[in-house]
Amino acid sequence: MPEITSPARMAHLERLIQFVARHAETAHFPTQRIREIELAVEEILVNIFSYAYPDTTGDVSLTCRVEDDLRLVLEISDTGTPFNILNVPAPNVAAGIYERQVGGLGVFFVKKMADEAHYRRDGDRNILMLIFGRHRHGAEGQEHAGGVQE
Amino acid sequence: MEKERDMFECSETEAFGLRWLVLIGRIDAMSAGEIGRKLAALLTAGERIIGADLDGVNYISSAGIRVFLSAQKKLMRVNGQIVLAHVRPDVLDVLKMGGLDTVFRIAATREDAARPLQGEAKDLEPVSKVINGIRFTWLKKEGRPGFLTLIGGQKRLIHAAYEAEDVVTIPSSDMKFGLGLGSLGQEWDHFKGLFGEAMVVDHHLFFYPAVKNPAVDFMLWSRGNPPLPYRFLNGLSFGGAYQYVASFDGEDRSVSLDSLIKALFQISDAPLLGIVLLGESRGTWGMHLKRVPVKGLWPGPEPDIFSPARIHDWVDLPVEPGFAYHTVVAAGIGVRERALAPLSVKTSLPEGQDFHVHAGIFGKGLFSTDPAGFEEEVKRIVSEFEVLRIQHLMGRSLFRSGVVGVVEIREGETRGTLDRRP
Repeated sequence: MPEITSPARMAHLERLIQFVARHAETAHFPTQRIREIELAVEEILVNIFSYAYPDTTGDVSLTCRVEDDLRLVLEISDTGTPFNILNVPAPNVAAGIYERQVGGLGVFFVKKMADEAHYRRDGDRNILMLIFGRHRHGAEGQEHAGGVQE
Repeated sequence: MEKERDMFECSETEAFGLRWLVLIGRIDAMSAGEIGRKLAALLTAGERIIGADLDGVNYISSAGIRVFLSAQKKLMRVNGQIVLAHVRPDVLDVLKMGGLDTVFRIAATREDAARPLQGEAKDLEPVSKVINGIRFTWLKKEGRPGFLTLIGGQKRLIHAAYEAEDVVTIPSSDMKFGLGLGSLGQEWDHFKGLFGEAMVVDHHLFFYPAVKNPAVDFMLWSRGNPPLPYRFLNGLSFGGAYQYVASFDGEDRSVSLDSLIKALFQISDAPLLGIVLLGESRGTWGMHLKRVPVKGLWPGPEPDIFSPARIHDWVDLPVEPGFAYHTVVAAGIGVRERALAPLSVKTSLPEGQDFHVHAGIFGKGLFSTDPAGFEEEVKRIVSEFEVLRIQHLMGRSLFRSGVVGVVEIREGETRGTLDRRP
């Protein structure tokens, strides 16, 4: 499976996002869907860059494949502080911005954009698997009640 | 595609009386820093309405949203706001998903973005209506919605156990209206013994220190002067423009604060209102603390200063109405339905109440109840009339007539710990 490893630093954000986007482009995912995938990848990467290695530096690795041109399967892994990002509580997006946690907004977007999101800890690695279909789950008009299965 | 990504541009222009950031490219973790710096520079330069033209933007992430949100919170405290124009569908989709389409004003074009501002000066014809037996005459204004800041927490109040770390300092420039347990001064050791019922009107602080033989202390502040540090242990602050200014008259009956506030929710359809009142008292029912609930000032521990056994040591409770015929200026918030209010708002309301109002009792005198001159009249009274008392105002307080300004509060934030700490 194609893999890319890079230092977990903001300077590498674009290169890493491009790596994923190219897979979606090759499989002719719709442009809007590619942007949604990019958004999810950015949110996860920025979180890793900011929090995974508080006292040191480290790497982040991405593996990506597209199954039958239908599903893009992505794994993002780091060897930083054990952390299941999927456990970050959802922000209250309904009631104005009382105590709105912008930090939680990123993860909220990831869960909305991905069809599936799974976290596992494997040895010293945090591994987050995200699966994206060609279209956002429930994107056609009506409200989607969180399409993520965990 | 590669090429398109490389360029991000953020330029400034002026159009239809507003300063605009014109953005091209992706608003993401890479470009957010530059946008944040430009927004901060415009804020510092005194811009209050800042436009962002997103015609050239087809991607926004939470890092990008964060810089706009942070600028918006600062702007709303000073009656300003961010307006987004030419928002493309992909970006709008993300903003809607995050519930942000209601946080930022979204205009179709730059011209539309400027339009309500030009209309703001024009008030519509007054409306006259009797609600719950009270005759109201009000002006609907096209003002920007209000912003609520909830300050500190109540938990340490009941044990009289506030400490230096509980103090939330708010610069006078940031506090247009507010109430709480407040004080003023540079050093904790100097101001800790002076906390008392406080009210802020038009950035002026009035407080009634909870000491023996107190007198109202106040600080008048005006724009252009350096901000003063207002100190609060708990309370709230709100800003924004009045959406309604209503004169009220009970005709042959007095108007209770309870019935007045209930009627305001029939004039406005907002769930949360900031309320500023100027009225002639027919007897106020008000309370104030008699001792400062700061740890170390009293032999502790206090299980509950509001318990029947202790309340008379701590709180001056009215046994009869007071200050009839005096001029009252009051500020506070009310909720349409307590049960539906956000928890943080609920905890800043007295138990079982759907409003929290502090009043300044000023000397007797004539004042105008013309809604059109309300803001100027409030300014005049608080700066020229003698102030006798600041009190926590109860719902059965009565007024003969007066004027009330209503700010529809749509946004909020919290400062200090609230009650999250055990």
